[in-house]
Amino acid sequence: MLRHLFLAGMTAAAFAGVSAPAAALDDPTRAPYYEAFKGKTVAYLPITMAANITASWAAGVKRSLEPLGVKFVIRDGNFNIDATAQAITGLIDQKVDVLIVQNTDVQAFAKLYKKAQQAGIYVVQMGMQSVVQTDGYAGPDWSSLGEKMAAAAIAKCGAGTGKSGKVALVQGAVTSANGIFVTQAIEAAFQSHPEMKIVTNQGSDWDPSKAHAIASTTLQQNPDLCAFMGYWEDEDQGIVAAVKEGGKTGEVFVMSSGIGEQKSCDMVSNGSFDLYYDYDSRIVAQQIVDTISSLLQSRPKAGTMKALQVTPLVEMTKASVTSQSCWSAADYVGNTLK
Amino acid sequence: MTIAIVGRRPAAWAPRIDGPRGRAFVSLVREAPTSAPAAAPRRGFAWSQATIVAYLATIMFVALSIFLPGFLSPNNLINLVRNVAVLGILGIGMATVVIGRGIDLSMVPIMAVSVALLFVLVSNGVATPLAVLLAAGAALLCGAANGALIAYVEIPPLFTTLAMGTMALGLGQYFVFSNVSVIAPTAIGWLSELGGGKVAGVPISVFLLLAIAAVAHLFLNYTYSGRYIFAIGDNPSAARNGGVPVRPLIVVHYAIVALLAFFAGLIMATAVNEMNTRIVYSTLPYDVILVVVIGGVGLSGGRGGVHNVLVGTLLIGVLSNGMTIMNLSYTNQKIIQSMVLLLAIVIDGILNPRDEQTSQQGDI
Repeated sequence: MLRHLFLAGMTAAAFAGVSAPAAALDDPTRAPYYEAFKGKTVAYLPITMAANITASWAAGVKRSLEPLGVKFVIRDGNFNIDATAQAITGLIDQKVDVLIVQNTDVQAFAKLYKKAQQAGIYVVQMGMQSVVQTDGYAGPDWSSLGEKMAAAAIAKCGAGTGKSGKVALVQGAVTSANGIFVTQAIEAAFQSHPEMKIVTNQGSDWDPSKAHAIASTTLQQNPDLCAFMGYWEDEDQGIVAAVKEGGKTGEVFVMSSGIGEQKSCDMVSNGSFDLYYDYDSRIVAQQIVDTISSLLQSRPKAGTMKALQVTPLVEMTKASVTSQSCWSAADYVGNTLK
Repeated sequence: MTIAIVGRRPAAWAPRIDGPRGRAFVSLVREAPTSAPAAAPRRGFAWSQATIVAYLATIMFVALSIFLPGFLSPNNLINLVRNVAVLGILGIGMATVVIGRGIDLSMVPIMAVSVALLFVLVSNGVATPLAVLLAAGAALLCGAANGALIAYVEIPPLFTTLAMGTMALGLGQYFVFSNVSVIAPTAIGWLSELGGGKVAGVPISVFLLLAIAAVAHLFLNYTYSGRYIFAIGDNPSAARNGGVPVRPLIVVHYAIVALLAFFAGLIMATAVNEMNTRIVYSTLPYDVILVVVIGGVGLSGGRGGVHNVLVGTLLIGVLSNGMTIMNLSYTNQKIIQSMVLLLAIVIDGILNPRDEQTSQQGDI
């Protein structure tokens, strides 16, 4: 009997012993994690909200941060550089915690970034970087895109291919990071390939009609053109139309890049784009979140951290594209921004 | 309001209308053609702004033909016209408004939103003909609202159309499309021929430009309504006192111009399988006014014609085609373009100095 009692006592003690430390055990990372986000304000300043690229970034960031108690505000620049500049000034006065800005061109907002960081506000750039480095940048490495495009053009049109080596560059905005860094990388790569000739290097201001005019004139002037190097899928529709009208589909190699929506996959599958580089918006959104997350948790002095999150460039060709390659921005954004 | 064909314009009218600083002259009673047309205005006509711009375009055309290999090829010339076809069509619409002493800054937004609406409707399964009717109706409604506000509420056209443009775009962004580029659905079928099709090797858009130019020319010069527009532009009060139905005419006029904008948008969008609504923020709205004014249509109203727009459009076309072939950068193209346009205005200013007789109230 005593023995039984003893055993029972031991068992009870053992259980108590097990349960007591369990109640006291704490995840030391949890509370500081939520604490870091709670009550913070993150402002999102895209060039425009009326674009799938910026809407999907916004949706991704909002979905990740809002449940953590972050106040997410959007200031739509609506293609107006002054509007964004004014919004940044206002947000500095309101002492928000983080600014996420998409740069219209590489020089824009440099002074405002400095002012914001002096006020202790983190500045994260997205999509297209400026020449001023701030706390973070999430988006493609445009120079790398240029290098990849140049390598593809050399492989397709360069020495030994029997082609003319003539390529046409149809840029978006020539003063944007996309325009400047892609072009620089292409020109640098062609330095060691004298057979490569850039017969057209012009900006379309992101307008497919202007791209169409440039492309049709270029084709007219250079019937032996080997490749079009487009800088952005929307405007590249104009290149595709010009190539089709000229009866050059399949003959002229058309390159493009973008966020990898279903329409882009369709363009690759139907042979409109021969080569396409995808920088998935969903990844960029996650990279923005990661940057903000590490800034708010480690809280370095604004302007001291220079974190880069480079979005991978996924190559798509007719051979590689599958039903899983692309996605729908409309589905991804859903009702998040409503 | 009726649009009645008057028949051939009496010869005596021509010099007064086409003269550089001549006033549009509208007679509600047909005059018998005089045997000897006035000689003096014809001398002036030789140096009107339209002529100066035509000479400039010709000089540039000849120079480019000589120095730029490939410029003179028939295909390039077709290309040249095709690339400015939309600009020309919008310019013709704008010119008729400017002749009536108005201005329509909502053309480009109405164009972008109505075509985006068409694409969205078709994408959502609406039959193409019905979608075209609905989209055209929306454009027409915006235009008629413009006209009603200008004619009856008497808000200056500059403000009315500026506000209407912003409103159309805002409503479009809120209700119609969420992305700046609206992709043309394949279901639009034959409509895509408007921008992308060819007849006998010539793009359909070129024929459309010429057809619209011809219709607009006939309308302005050979219909009562067309002549009334000159009358309104020259002196609205006098036109009204003379029995011209000024207000209804303005409403119908702006509505038709909005419809024309929709049509131009169809050509623009089907050429590249996409309506880029960002076009509203581009220089296009100014370019449209530019080709009208550079061609010699006075902003003060009452003078000008379709030929002015065509000359202005061709100048822009020759310039941008030549510079694209020369592979000049975007910035340099803009600089050269603006310098040539300034040159045209300066030459006009020197040859046709403004004085009390030629300047008009409302001249800008």
